[in-house]
Amino acid sequence: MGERTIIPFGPQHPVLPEPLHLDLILEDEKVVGAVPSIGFVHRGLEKLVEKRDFHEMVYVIERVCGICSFIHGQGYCQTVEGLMGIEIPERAKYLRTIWAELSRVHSHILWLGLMADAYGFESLFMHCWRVREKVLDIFEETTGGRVIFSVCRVGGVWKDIDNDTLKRIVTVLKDVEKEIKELSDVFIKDYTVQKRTRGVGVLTYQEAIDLGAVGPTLRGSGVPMDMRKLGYAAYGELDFEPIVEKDGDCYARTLVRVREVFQSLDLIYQAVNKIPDGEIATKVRGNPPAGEFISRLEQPRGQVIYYAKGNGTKYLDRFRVRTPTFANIAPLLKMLPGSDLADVPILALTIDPCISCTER
Amino acid sequence: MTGQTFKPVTAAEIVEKTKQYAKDGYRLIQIHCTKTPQEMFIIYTFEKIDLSCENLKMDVQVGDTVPSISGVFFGAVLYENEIHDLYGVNFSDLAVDFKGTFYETSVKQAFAQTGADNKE
Amino acid sequence: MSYLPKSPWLVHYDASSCNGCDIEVLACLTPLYDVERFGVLNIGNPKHADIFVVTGSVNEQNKSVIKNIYDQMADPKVVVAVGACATSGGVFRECYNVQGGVDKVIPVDVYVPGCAARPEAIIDGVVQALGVLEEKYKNMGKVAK
Repeated sequence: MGERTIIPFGPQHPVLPEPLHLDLILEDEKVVGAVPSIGFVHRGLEKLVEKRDFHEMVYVIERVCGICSFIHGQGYCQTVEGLMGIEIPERAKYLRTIWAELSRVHSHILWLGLMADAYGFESLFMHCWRVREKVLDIFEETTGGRVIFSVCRVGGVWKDIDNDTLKRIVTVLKDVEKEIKELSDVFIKDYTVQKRTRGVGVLTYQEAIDLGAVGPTLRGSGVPMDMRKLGYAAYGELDFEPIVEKDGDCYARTLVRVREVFQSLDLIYQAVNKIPDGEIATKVRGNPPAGEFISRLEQPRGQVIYYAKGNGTKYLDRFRVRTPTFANIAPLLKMLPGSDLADVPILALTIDPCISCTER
Repeated sequence: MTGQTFKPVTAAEIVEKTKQYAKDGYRLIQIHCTKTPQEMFIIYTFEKIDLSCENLKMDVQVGDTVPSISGVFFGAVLYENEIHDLYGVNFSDLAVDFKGTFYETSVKQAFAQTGADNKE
Repeated sequence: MSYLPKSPWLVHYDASSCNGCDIEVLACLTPLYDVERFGVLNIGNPKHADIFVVTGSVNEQNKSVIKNIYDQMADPKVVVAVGACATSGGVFRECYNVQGGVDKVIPVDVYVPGCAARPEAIIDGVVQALGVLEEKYKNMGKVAK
């Protein structure tokens, strides 16, 4: 047994785009324990609910995170609509679904790029991000923003996408699909990548459930849970099954994300075919009533939980976000012990950490 | 949508109730605290693999000590430390106790003061 | 600008940003925008860097980290504050844990507006920073050729 060393990992670290801090306890090169400390990005934005009325709050909640911003806005609106008993128009539901799936596509491609960077596959990283720009162009065309969209509102959405544009989006996405197909072969078939990811950081089925893992981290361990199956927005009318891999290692988690890109693209094609014509927002009258509401949605990183408590005024009493990365920290702490120090960046990446989500 | 009921629970029962949920195949997905000028409570949410979910609601006060459920679900550690740092509720028998260093904020226990008076 | 006498390297730190500006900073480095054509490299080591790109606002815990990275950088150095949060606190200005823009902790040379800042704006900011860097060289008595 070697001597124990504690290595601080982060907050400013070349492999991390974000300030995650871990104290890694090492015996020689093996990690035997890890202690996280967070708070570098804590803003306390849940507290802003006391100063911003429930319409304005959408824009604050969108900025919980710049990568999954759309689904944060959608989740907030859905929760407040639930609290107020508002039924939004069908077309708005489909539009939300399309934007949410586009978010998932761009987020997963972004992650694949970061993963490639962590392997040392610099050009693969560049290719992933090049392809991602096409998705961002769609966002810019339809919402006006590249990463923060502000297109959701309580009662529906602000902007419509006309049917011709929708058709054009599908053609662009078919291109994206072809390119991702080529790139994904590297993640799936490359010998070096498999060498680095197979059998690394295994999270078993039972551990994933007990530790509260969510999203691709959970599904990579063989648990078929996907919040979209709750049928919110238009998901109830679309045909899909949760994507599951059995092994629970880094490779399985990568594979889940690769396959989810294609699933999301397929969902967009389905939604474009089914989208009904009509209004995109209903009129919202009055304030959120006294009461509480919980909703669960699927972010690219996993399940996200929103809780809203109203009191009859235009200010909510409380709005709470439980973000996916927060839930995935406990599983990460389980995966780290036993791995090599050099594998830590890849391991930390496979939960797709989003620190600004976590700390809000 | 499922899971909109909030069953009352007391601090004395929480660990037993949690064990029961664990036995029934539920897992913990979140704990959070809410404080309004009128009331303060903690909500525990449990979820099953078929996506059904249930909530427990426990009334607390700032400064109270509540038994930790991190012995049953390790993931609870993070939520409980968060509530300790932001709301000033103490938890006994935490599996990992950060002793108030989990979040380092400029205002200690910021969420323990309700903002009814600082509304514009 | 006809030519650049130096190829400046930049170090990026995410203070309490929402990630929006961070991924846009990264997007600047990738093929569509590609700041590497100006000789700009994103580097992890603050001691190698000339330009310090900060996104997000300052809070209690990251104040010392920002200060630390800034102090480690060799002179001359330029600080670019990217996005509304880094310049003033932005949408989070009124949050209890947010102290404001980066200029509360270190001197900022270039401010880039936007929420999230667009890649074009970030590149423009970095190019302006090069000018400031040159100026600082001259003031240090070293001649940049």
